This record gives sequence, structure tokens and C-alpha cells, in this order.
Amino acid sequence: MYGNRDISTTENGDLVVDNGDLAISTASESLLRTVNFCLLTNYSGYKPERHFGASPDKFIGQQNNSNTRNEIRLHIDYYLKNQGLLMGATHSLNVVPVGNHEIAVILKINTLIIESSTEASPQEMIIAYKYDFNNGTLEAVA
Amino acid sequence: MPKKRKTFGAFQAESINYLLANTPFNNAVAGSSARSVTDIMNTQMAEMSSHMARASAMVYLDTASGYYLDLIGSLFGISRDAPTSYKTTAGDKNIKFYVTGVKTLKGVLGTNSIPNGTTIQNTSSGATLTTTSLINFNDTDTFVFVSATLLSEKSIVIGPSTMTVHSLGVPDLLVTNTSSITHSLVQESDLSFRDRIASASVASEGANSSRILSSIQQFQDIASVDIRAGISGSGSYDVYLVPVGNRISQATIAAIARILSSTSGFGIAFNIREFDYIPVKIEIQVKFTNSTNDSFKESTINIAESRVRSLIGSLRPGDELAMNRIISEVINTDNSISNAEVIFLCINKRVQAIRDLRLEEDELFVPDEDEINPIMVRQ
Repeated sequence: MYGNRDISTTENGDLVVDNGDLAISTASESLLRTVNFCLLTNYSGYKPERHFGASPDKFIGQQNNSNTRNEIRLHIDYYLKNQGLLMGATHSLNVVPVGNHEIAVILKINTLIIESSTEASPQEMIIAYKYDFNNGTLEAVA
Repeated sequence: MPKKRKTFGAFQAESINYLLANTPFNNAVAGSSARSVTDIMNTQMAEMSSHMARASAMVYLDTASGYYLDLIGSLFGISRDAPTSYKTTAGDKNIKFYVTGVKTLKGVLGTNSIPNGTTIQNTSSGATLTTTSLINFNDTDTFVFVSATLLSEKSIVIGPSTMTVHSLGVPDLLVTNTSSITHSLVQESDLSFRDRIASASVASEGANSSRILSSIQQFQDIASVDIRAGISGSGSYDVYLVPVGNRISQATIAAIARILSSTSGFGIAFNIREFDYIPVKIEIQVKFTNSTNDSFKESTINIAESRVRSLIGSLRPGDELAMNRIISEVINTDNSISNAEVIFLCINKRVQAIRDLRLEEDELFVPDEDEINPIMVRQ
């Protein structure tokens, strides 16, 4: 069950202003942005909060084989759980090759989203990322 | 009162509690936008709070330190004491060249002077004093005091009677130091400087006793100061200087005269008084336990002599020199000493019956510098 709401931001991370006030996001948007920010940040790379981040940046230059992909999956899973962002939600992670040096990281989140404006209903969210072994970065796929 | 520093964590707790209580934003975990905004702001706020706490601490005397304390000192015209090298003059009666028996200085040296640049060394620490002027003496003199300076890049404290090697190459000519030598390269601490500034802040109101005291406290060879008004007539004051150890160096007295002449108000006369130095010579006989070897006895005797010197140096005007205290100092030097007895006492060049002696209010004991070994412990 998830009902926390945040300041609304665009996909680029810019703050959204509505009639001169900061806009309020929906709970699902809030969860999505938070998980997104965590996965795109290197562990201990965010200065105000040292124990934050789940980006698999340390796998740069490694071979795109099943062992590495499994390690990346375990890495992301471990750090996501550590952040406590998905408390009360079930999630699954899949890592599949999409090119010689690229893999897709697919995160599925199943949780009951409570929105103040709508009735509560279980919801499945799927977030996909692309990881490039050449530069060690994770990119959100729209 | 200095402003207390507020940490990043404290700012964050306040901001997040405020957001949760007063706004619809209730996602404040790391990674949320609301948290990112407070993270950025509070990082800056914590840094600013740290600067403000430091700046506010540096304007109060009891919390200022280093450069900022120097700035506060400059408001009252005083500065942190810089380290100075040790200097002694012949008048200080510390570095003594002498001969023993029926010899004379001229007899062993062949000339009537100790040349400038002669070095005197301490064998254990390697400290070297260099004489700073040519010192002449009469044909029949058996000892002479010299001026010297110590050049060393480290702080040294040397006990009395330990500078015993000289560069003149004459075995019958002996040298010693009658009192300890302190060569300090340590800059004045914040604590001591703060104390002087506090006195100076009171002193800044005019030429009062606090001002005189704060001006004189900086000298290392002065233990305390006694100011007596009107002793030399109205509109005058006398400053009695109590030395650390046995004597105050002449350089210190000259420096104090300069300070007092600028501290004292117009038309006010001052006199710098040293206490009457009463020369003392003491012989103490000791008995060692049978198992003690000769070399150990010699070193124990040296330590015992040093302890008696320290005892005499620690006596203040009005104090009593008790024979039992001397005996106790000697016996407590080492377990190998089984008994000690004062067998000779000479005060102010006069042989006295062995008894306790009380100093007058303007007197201080000093080991008799005219004697080769004024404090003698022997078997």
C-alpha cells in the first residue's frame, strides 16, 4: 500500500509549478520518481544521504554474459531493498541483453496505490532502463 | 554568548517535520523531490550555521582562538609572546669559569680574559652556549662570570651544574652553570594570552595595578609581582619581582623598566626592586647502604644537590628554610641513602649554627655564587 505524495516534477526532473504553487504529484508518480532517482544514483554518490543509490555503475567494462547480468540484477535488488523505498510492495527484476554492450533492466512493482482523488486499487507499474557496459550508466527508457 | 552551530541533521529534521505537518507533501524519503529540495537548502544552511557559529565564537574573549585572539589582543595593544632564545649576562651570575685549589684563572689560562665566542656545552643534551663578549679578570681571581647565548632550534631545559665542557682546551679551567637554563621555542598558548587580554581589558581604563601586572606577567623568569604604593614617597610605587628559581635576568629587568615607563602615568615614579639575595652555602653528609657502587653514589649525589637547589629556589620571602626539609629532600633522592645530616651552614658569608632560618619579607635565598660548590652533598 503506497499513498505518499511528492512535489511534482517533469521527466527531466524540473519542478512543476501550478498557478504559482508547487504542483502535487500523484502517489504512483511519487513512487516512480523516487525509485527512478535511486536507480540512477551511484551508491554513496548523493552527498546529503551517503547510504543512498542503487545504480550498477561498478560493472563498467565487464562482459555482457549471463553471470554479469545476474550480478547486476542482484546488485539492484539488494540496494533497492536497502533503501526501504518499496516497503509494502512486491517487485520483480529482469535483466535481458538487448545489444553487444547493452542490457535492459525491467522493474515490475505491484502495490496498492492510494490516491486521494480516486478510489484505491491494486496497480502494477513497469519501469524499464537501459544499461551500457561501455560507460556504466543506467538510462530510463520512456 | 556565541551562537551554537546547528547541524545538517537538525535542519533536515525540522524541515521534514514541517513538510509532513503543514503541506500535502508526505513523501520525504531520500530520493523524493521534496527531500532533494530540503537537502540542497539545508546543506547550505548547515554550512552557513557553521560559519556563523565560528564567527560568533571568535568575537568573544573566552572562545576566540588563534588569529582572532591576536586581533582582540591588538585592540588592547598587546601581542602574543614570540619564542626567544636564552641569553644570560655576567651580572646574572649564571655561567661561571673557575679554578680549584691554589690556582688562579690567569695562572691556568695565561691571559686575563675569556674570549668572545668561547663555547660551553652540556654533554648529555648537546646544548651549546656561546660567550657574547670578552670578559676580563684580575691576576688573582679564581672565578669569573660571563655573558652567553644559547642557539638551538628545539626547546631545552637544562638543570644547574650541567654545562661543564668548554672549548678553551685548558683542563684545569672548569666551567659550570649556577642555575637552570630554559630555552623555550613554544609560542604563548591561547589560554595564557587570553588571560593577559582579560587583565589588559581592565588595565585599559588607566595606569592601575592590573595594567602593571598584565604587562609584567609575560616574562618566564618572574613567578609573581608585589606592587607596593607610596614606599618611595607619594606619587610613586615600587614593584618587587619574585623570580622563578634563584634570580631574574638583567635582560628581563631592563625590559620591565621600558614597559613600566610607558605604562605609568605622567608624574608617577616607579622603582623596580629585586629582593635582597641572601647567599647560602650548605654541606650535607650522606651515608649510603653497603651495597651501593661508587658510580651510582656519584650520580645520586648530583641529583640530591639538584633537589636541594630546587628547594632553596622555591622558597619565597617570609618562608622558612628548615633543616629537616633539606634532610628529607636528600634522603628521598634514592633508597640507597640511609642517612643525611647538615654539617655546615653559611648564611650571608657568615658561618651559622645548624638551625632553621626564616626569610624576611624582602629576602630570598640564593646559592652563594662566589663558592665553587655552594650546595654540597658528600659522604
